[in-house]
Amino acid sequence: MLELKQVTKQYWKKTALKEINLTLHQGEIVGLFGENGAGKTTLMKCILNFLPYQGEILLDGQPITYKNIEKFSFATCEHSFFPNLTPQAHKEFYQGQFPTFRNKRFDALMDFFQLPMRQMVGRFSTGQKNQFEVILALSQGADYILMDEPFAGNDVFNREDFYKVLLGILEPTETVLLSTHLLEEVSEFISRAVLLHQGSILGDVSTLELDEQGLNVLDYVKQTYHYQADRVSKALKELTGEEE
Amino acid sequence: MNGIARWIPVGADPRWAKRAILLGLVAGLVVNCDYLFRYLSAREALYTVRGGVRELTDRIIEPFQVLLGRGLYGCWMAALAMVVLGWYYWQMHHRESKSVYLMRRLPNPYEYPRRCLSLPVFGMILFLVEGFLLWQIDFLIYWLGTPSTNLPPVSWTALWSIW
Repeated sequence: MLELKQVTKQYWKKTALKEINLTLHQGEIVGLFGENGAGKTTLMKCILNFLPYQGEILLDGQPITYKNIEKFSFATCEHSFFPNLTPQAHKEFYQGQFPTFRNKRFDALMDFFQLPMRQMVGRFSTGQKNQFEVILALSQGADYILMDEPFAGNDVFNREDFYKVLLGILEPTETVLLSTHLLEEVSEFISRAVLLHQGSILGDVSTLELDEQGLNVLDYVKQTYHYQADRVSKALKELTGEEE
Repeated sequence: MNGIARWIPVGADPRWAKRAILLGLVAGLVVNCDYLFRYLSAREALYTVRGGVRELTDRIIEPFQVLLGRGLYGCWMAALAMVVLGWYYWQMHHRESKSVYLMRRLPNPYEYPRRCLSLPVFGMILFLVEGFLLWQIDFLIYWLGTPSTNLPPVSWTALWSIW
């Protein structure tokens, strides 16, 4: 279980995260949504100890240190691979560093996405790089897989393939925290939606609860953000009225 | 990964790293040649030719620290360049992709600093040792190569006076 208790992150004058309390249970697929600058990436980086923060983040009751950091993997739109290495070399590096590395899963995913094993990753297309980044995160053998907008730049067919594969390969012990703007696409397979707004959690609901209420994730997000559906037509009316 | 590749950032060219160290060593030697030229000129100036015969004068040769001048600067600059190398290796994890996010998640917390710092630290020590050895050798040349009557007084202290 991953617990965040009163996690606050301050950047000079801006508060990126405000007293976040969040618990992730084993096996959950959690969608993390929010506008640009809401704090999604900052939240993930605090979990991984990339950023100093106030509050507490515990994994199974223990602080996150080098002793348990291998239980986390991270796929980021900024990419964390070595551009001068081939996938084969990456596999060897991961095998040496992470005893839980899943060779079969890595080979199967590389084969599925038809990525070349012996070409430098730096020479892949953007879509291929994204795919490889996610493959590494899924193959590390981590219990908690953090993905920060991993699909930026991938076409819809690519994304569809990936969602199907993800659902197919994840084990009950694997927990996913997925930050994305592609709300409608991921709403089909996430088990929980957490909404972040200006550093605070605005909403946290399971998709089961939403089903019972007859809502989908998009409806929930609009409701929670107090989205005014008529604001566009109002604005257009004002604009066209001015021009006349 | 074996050899030098284990001690530099993942994906960095080990041949380039070896060349950088070799270049530093050569630079130290080449710059030190300045001292040799200055010393040989100064020693030659101790002699005069009278009636076609080369004779030693009673002139006193310049102090060691004056002749040494910038003779060790090559070694010191090579050692300082290792700071730049360390910075470059650190930067490699932040360019093109952010492999720093992977290195900081490794179970071995020393892997990341080890790969960034090992070669620069080794190089720095190597060039400082080279500088020290050249300093000793240069002084021996000065002490043994100059006729004792032409040495300045208390020349042994010249060894330390460069500081």
